[in-house]
Amino acid sequence: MRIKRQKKQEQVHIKSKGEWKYQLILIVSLIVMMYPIVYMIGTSFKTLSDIFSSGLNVFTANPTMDNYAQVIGANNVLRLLRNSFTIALIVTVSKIITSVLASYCLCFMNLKHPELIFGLFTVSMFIPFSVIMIPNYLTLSRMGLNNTLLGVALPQLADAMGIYRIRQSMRSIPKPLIEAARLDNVGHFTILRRIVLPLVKPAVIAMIIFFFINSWNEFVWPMLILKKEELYTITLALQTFLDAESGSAWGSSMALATIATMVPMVLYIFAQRKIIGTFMQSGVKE
Amino acid sequence: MSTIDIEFKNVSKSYDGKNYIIKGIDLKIPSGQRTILLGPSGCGKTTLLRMISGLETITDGELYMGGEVVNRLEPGDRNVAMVFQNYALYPHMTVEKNILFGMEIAKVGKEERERRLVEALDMFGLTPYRTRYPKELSGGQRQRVALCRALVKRAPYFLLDEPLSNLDAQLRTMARAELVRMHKVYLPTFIYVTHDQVEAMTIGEKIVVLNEGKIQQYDSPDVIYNQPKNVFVAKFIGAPSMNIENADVDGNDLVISGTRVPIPKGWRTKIGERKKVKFGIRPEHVELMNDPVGPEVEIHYVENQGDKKSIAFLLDDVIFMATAGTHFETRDRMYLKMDWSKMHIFDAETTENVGYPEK
Amino acid sequence: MKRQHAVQETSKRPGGFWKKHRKIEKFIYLLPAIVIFCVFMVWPIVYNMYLSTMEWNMVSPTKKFVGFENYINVFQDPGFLKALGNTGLYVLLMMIFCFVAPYFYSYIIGKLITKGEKIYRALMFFPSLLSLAVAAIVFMWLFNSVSGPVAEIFEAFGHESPHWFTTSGYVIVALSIATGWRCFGYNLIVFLGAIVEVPVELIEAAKLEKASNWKIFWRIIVPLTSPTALYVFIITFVMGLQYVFTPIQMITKGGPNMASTNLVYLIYQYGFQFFQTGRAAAVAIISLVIFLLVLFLQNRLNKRVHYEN
Repeated sequence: MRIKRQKKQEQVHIKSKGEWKYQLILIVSLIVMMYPIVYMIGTSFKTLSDIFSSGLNVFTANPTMDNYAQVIGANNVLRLLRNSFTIALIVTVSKIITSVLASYCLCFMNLKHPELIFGLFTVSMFIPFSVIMIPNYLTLSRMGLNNTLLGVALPQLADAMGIYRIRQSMRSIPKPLIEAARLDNVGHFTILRRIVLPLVKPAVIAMIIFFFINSWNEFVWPMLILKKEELYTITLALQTFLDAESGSAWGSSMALATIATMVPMVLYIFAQRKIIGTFMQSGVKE
Repeated sequence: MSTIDIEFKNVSKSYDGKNYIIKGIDLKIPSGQRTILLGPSGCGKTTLLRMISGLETITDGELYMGGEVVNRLEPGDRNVAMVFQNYALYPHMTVEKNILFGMEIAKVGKEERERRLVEALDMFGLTPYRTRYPKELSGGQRQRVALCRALVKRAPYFLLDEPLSNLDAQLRTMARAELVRMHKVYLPTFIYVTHDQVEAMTIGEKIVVLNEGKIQQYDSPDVIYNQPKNVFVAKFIGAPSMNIENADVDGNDLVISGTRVPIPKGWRTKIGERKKVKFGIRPEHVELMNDPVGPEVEIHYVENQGDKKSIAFLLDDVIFMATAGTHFETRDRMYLKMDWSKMHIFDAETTENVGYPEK
Repeated sequence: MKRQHAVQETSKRPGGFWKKHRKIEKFIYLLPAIVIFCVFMVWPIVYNMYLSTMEWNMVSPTKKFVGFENYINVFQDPGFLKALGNTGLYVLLMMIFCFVAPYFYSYIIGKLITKGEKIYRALMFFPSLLSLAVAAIVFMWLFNSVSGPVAEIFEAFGHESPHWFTTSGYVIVALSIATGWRCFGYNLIVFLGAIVEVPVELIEAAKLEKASNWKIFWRIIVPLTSPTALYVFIITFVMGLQYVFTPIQMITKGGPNMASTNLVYLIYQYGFQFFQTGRAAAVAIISLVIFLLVLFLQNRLNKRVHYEN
């Protein structure tokens, strides 16, 4: 971010007379939008009777850790976290490497038709998952990777969104920088490591976090691949609470949901500005 | 190493196979000389420079460097140093890291690296800025860092792509002198692209004037100024630019917009059988007098440039320019005096210079 | 001849392995991404087309070619038509929650307020960090018809809360709200990125002519942000198609009586519950065709909007 795009960060506003009106709309909306999250966290500290009697109030006079104790004991949360973490780590590392390499190639390696190749990558961003779900399941079964963490990770080792974003960021690097290095006989990998990567660091960090959160949150694909409970990810484990019609698992399910949300939340707080900044640049520009 | 020089042999460049932006260039550049590629934007001067650096491919023809065909040689293998228009400093590296980076890649020994770094920084007065980042420097300092970075490479070829165009006028004058001084110390083959004729005149030992992908003239600054090869060069070099007007040849007279003047001695044979020519004279060789020494003209407007004035006047209904030290009022009527020995005659069709009489 | 000479010169020079193999080097940079895409993106589509013409139960070693029979069967299945209609409803609701709403909100946050826009955008993005599974389970309790907060609100107004997840019609609304809540923030940020780029001078000029904020939105913001709007429209369409899968699977399993199923859920059921792989593949191809059709139409529309401006 050091070289470019420092200008647009500060937004210029039109003074609008009815600002309080808009502020009111936004504040009310914000409260409504935040309520489910606060509710989730609040309920995770409530006893069952508390939950039934507290109405809209998310806070409780007698917070309890029972729900957490229960999910940590019964659901083996540590194992869930480890499974989620393993998959997310493989996926994130691989996605970032493949995205950076492909983006570098598209931007700086004098391909014949970079736009065409990039276009094909981009199109795949929009292919509905439902179309590839069954064939991918079959492919992985044939590879014997059903019911393995690697099986969850394998189809996601590259990411069109990552290529899109990182290429966008690399494109803002002035070409002469790369040419100057080429004149100095610097190899492509060194240019990538010593010049390009330091300059696209913000986008790369944002994508690392984005990939990690996405993988962490994933539900459908792990559900298809992982049938053994000892391989469940933390997101997948949420489904074990669903058969409890009675609502007896109300508090503990919120506790598990809260734990599942902690990781993305912490990462977001750590890199909020980078993430928002990267996604704000993601719209299509002419 | 063989004698280093650069030779273009019928070099062309086209991106789409139809429109050529470089059209059959033949050019020999001797080693150790300051050569300027000069021309308006889009003339192909930067493309030529980038061909030498290897950053631009060659569609047709051969490029020789040091006696070898280098058409397919990677930029990194050509041993050229280049200064880019926007300097292309690595924004995430300090001044010293920027300068050291290339030498580190080239595996120059640590002591030698440091020696060249200190020498270059010292030469350009950048020693106090060693650990600054490019964004913390002024435009002039950045430009000098870019020069340092190219210089420490000790490459036999030194390419510069409009390196001064982003500087203000005062800095530019200083930087021009600095460039020449630097060249005289290390004597690389120095190729400099610019659209600024003053820069070309002051820096260049030889100037290549380009237009529309073709070489218009390749000569020393003096020859280019005094004996422009064609109308394009005549008009492009010099400010205000040369007056050029159609003229009819009538026996031993030249008729320029209704004014009849006898053809000066020595010129008659040069003009030959031509009935129509283009007549050219630089504004500084035109004088306006109070006494009726020549045809009467009317002052059209005056542009004050401080020390001197550019005066536009009407000869019949054609505007001519003159430079003068004194002021005139618009609509004043004056008498024209031209230094006929300083005139230029071009062929009306080809616009080529017909030549000059022997002195 | 001369060219050859040049090549030899090149190879004589010192230089790394990659120098001599530039083509291979390029290829290696692109290869990992391309292999993954081919194996897990391109090939599956082709294979899906193949499967859609087969009768197969996913485990049997033999498949039987049936031509278009799967497609015919699918179109005669009332369940499919139900799922198709529901998919339309999901997409429509998601368009409201995740296309129209964030468009307006991004306009308000980006251009109509002077304070707090960073806080709003940071917090409103927050739900997009959650898993759809988390969103599903939270909304399952929020919409609990006995003592969930929503039921409490209905009670406060003297009404009985509808049974959200067991009543046809309501169920789609409830599931869409859960999904829409989770996806709103992301689209908001993407829109905001485009709206911030709209030059403020244009809006000031319009203000001088006393144009209302509403008019400015339609006459300046929308035309200048239409490429981004197209992008958000497409991803919202994809969301309506597939993101609702997770809440459906977690809360209703398509019920009651298929009232909440959609095309993607139907593919899952055909494929993994009824073991009619051919039919599942046929539905997948149909959903792809619908998606491409929408993409095409929207693209045409967008172009027309552009030329007019």
